[in-house]
Amino acid sequence: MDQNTFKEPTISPASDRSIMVQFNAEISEYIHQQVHFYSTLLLENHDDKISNLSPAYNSILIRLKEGISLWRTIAKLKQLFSENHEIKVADKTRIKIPVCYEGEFAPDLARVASHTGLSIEQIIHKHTTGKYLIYFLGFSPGFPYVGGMDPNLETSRLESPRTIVPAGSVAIGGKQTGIYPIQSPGGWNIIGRTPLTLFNWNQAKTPALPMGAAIEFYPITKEEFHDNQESLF
Amino acid sequence: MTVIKQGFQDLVQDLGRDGYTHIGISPTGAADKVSMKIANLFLGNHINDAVLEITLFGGTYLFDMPTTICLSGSHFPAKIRGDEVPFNKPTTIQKGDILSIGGSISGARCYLAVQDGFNVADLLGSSSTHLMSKSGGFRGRNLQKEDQLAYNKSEKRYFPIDRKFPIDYNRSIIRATPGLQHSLFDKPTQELFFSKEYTVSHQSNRMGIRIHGPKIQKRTSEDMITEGLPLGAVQVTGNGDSIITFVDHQTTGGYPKIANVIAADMHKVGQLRPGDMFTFELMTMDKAETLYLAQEQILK
Repeated sequence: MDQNTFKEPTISPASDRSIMVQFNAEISEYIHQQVHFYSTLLLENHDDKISNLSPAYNSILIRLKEGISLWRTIAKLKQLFSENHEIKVADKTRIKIPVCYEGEFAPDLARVASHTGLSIEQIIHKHTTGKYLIYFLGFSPGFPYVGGMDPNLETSRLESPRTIVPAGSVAIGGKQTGIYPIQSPGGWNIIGRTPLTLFNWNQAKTPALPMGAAIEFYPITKEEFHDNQESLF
Repeated sequence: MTVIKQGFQDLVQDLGRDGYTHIGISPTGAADKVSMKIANLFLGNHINDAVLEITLFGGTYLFDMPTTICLSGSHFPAKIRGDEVPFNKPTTIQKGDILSIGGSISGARCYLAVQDGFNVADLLGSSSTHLMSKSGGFRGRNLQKEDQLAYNKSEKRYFPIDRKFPIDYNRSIIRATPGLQHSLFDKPTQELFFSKEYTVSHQSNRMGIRIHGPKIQKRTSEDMITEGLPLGAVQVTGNGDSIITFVDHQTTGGYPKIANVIAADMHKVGQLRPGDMFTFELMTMDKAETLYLAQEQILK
């Protein structure tokens, strides 16, 4: 089948108050574009029925407002997805993120080195030459699920998660890399920290690292870290 | 209202902060929204007015202004000037009254509502406390000694004291629909899940209720792709324990979901306390929705 032929997703109740829209079971930019297009469409045009929505790699979970009928909404969604939609792909927002991969900002760099067999320099090189895509936000406020990491950097998660991971920490968890916008618990290997402020409650609707953005990392020194403490807002 | 003695976890909550899960912000809100609404309804409040959620044991609170209060939810011993404060009934408060609330003698939580609700700074349209980010509610945290929680000076009002709310609070049976990944579990495993008793773990909180029971294993070792988490989803972790996704949950997750607690029983989950034992009862989606809509009607 031609990859660009739109395949209707499956739509089924996830609970008696929520609906799961599931696209092809794959993590790809093509599926991501569909998820992004439809979640934006639903958020903009159907907020009278939807209380909350969670896009992910290949799915959209829709949570219903009080009193809204589950089955009638499923029927309407099926109709919406059967209509012929042209998936509009907006130009990607491009964001460059400075990261200090030194000292106390990178407590797990040595662990990643021993796990991958790479030198510290090679890890930083591979991490900063990657082109990354933010598939969606989830887990905690503003937390981006980032795809595109060099598979050679894959490192298993920590055996016991830290109770406090500082805001701005850049980390590797299995096949994924990510950034912690706010201080939270976390079990990923911390390899650096950005001085940028990445989450602001006053501008929660327009997060600094939005779904669909293309991001890159570049290395900075500790001195530059302290000179660069600015906000992306 | 001034806190004289701190309770176990006194949190300002309302019905939650909707509209932001796509940014990774969980809605939070009262753990038992039924009791929270009832406390407000007895005062003629809006059902979304901010209340104090009191967990396991309460504190001692001094009222700086006259008002009317209502307690609802699990029964906690509560006294003012040596007199027992009734639940599900408005109680008139004079300036200087001291309310002391002890340890629960039934479920996990009770709710203290004041006329027109408590006043805290609005955060994205809600007064609820978002504990993970230490934001919202009262300074993003539980109330502590000497904190002062504001409420409005209220007018005299007629209170609808005769209302009855026929709500099922039996938390030994929690009803659930099949979860999104129930087919990853074979038939005997599903039957095991819906027949055996579960015990609530001490490692439970507003993010998730961890439960111990028979070891539940999925059929394949293949991992699923991370996806949105519905409230009440029963996630089966690698070690066989299960977690009921609760009000402060992560917005997305990667564990398979064998079942989902029905919306009409979520208030019971908010009343589960460590050591409680219960069984899951399988229910169809249709029946679950009918029960939910009926409960909504009662709480108007």
